[in-house]
Amino acid sequence: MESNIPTKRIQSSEDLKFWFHSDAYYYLTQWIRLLSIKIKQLKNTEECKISDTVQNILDILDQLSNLIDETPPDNQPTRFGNKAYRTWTNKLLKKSEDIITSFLPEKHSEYSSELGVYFLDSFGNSRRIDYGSGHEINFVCFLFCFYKLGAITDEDLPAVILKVFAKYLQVARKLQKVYNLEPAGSHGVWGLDDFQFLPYYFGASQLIGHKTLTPSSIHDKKLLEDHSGEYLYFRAIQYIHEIKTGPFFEHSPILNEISNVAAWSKVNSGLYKMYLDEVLSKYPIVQHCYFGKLLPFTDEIRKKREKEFKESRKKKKTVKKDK
Amino acid sequence: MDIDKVIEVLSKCQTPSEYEIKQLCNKAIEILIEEANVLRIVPPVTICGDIHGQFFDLVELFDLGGSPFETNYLFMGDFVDRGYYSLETFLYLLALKVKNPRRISILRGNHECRQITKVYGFYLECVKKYGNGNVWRYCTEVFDHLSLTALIGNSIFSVHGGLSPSIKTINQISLINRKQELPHEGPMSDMLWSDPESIQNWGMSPRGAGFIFGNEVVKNFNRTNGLSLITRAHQLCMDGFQYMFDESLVTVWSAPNYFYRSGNIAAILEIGENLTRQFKTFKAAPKEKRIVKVKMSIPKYFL
Repeated sequence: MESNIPTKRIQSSEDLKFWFHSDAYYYLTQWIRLLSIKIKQLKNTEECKISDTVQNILDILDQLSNLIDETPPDNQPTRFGNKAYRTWTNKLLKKSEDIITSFLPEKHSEYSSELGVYFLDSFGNSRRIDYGSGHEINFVCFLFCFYKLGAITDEDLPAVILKVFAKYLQVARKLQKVYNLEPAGSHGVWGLDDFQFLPYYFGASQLIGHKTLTPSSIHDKKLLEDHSGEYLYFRAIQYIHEIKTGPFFEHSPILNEISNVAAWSKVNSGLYKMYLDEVLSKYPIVQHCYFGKLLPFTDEIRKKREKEFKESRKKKKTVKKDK
Repeated sequence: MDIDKVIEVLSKCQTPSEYEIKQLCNKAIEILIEEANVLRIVPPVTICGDIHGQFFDLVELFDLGGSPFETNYLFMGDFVDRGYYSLETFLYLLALKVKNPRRISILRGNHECRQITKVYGFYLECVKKYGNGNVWRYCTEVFDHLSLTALIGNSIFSVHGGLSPSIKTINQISLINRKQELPHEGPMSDMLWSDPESIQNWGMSPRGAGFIFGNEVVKNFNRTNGLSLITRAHQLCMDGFQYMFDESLVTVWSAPNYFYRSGNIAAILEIGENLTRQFKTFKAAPKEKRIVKVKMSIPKYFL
């Protein structure tokens, strides 16, 4: 039986192979696809139903942002990242019990600690003072836990991305800038972005079928400025311009090439495949993934499918015999 | 293979033919296979950290530190991944090594292995530039033969990452069978993955490989082995280098403005004949010296 406290389970190439067939992999990939579908053609500013559960997460993210303001960077000698980030993390840990117990209603309290592990590892690594796509995965897993438990329903999903995930990105970017976080495991010019991936995937879905904005519109500074508040994709590109030096085609060649793709729907579907291939299939990232009861490292779904497949073949043979 | 011609081509950040690369790699392996796990280097020597495919910044490094034909260099690994020019960077250093094996010393970094280069860009770069994975295979075979550590003048120890709980003396390093793909654990892996940290002893590494090690560990290791300094790379430094533990360990980082965002300067450490230490720092090559001739194409996922 899977433990309630999520643990890391991928420690070898055999584990990696199992991961692809696991229930957790299935749930996670289906979850991000569902989220993408639910925000198709919607702007960040769209009016969405915001339940109490969702509002609570938003409030907590605001608290985290305020905590950054209360914990300014310090002047301690450092290799790279600012050590005040560790102070921020310690402050978060001190508040974490109250925060975590507030997420779920009483009936789901046994899952609080599971949720907590994902949440607390969504904001970077305090030892290394870095942040990467693995932390982003943790936040998405955190959100999935609510959905699996029914604490978030289909109606809440637009708000989950347009409000909650958008706010999470604000907090993550503020941390990156204020504390000078190192990109964790970036692929450099061979990767999409040093810190994030999903804002581009979700962001492309928002723009599907847009009448005037095309993938090449990201090169227009005015359009970026005008639309970065409405679209995750544009905000992500704008953020890159805020922190990278040199021409865009040089420091972000993959994003530059994607801007040549004809349609946002192609960008969206391509990014999904790329995410599976370049993030979820890579051992250096997924070795840090956590598995508990809600995202279990089991293969019940595969076993069930195999059983159903065998049974359907048996039935076919029987039908043929009868004939 | 005409080694001078190959060097000439690579020095301009151009790539030789696949056949020339194969010959270069074979020749390099002949030299590297004879080298010990612990290279013995007589100073003076200039120690350098990670390069990560930043070829034009490597040129800046040579402008600052002196021509590689006239200056002794020790590179502590991580030549490949992340930058545009991992292939040109690695092969240029390899060709310099083949031309003058006693002048140029190169160590293995944690990126010099198959698993990591398949994720962080070197493999993609090879396929992009040559249409197939052969060149990547030739290079990874060379990686398997790279030395792990160096001892400069008997008192300065150099390694890419750091220390291992399995290694108390430098002599123990000689017992390692290094000619293999980088293992996930064990002393060879530890030395290329570990990081120093503001603790006293050993701890788990958040990287998922190697360990973190502290003040007591370094002081004991240095005392046991008669060392005055450990030099290592592996971690980005804003100022190009960073001392720790009362200057008994230093990180040297040689990739300026890492990721085009870090704004860091890079450094080299010049060790004089009498084991004097002088750091020199440099910035990223200016715009006019950087040529981006790698034509990326729309990734396969979008076709």
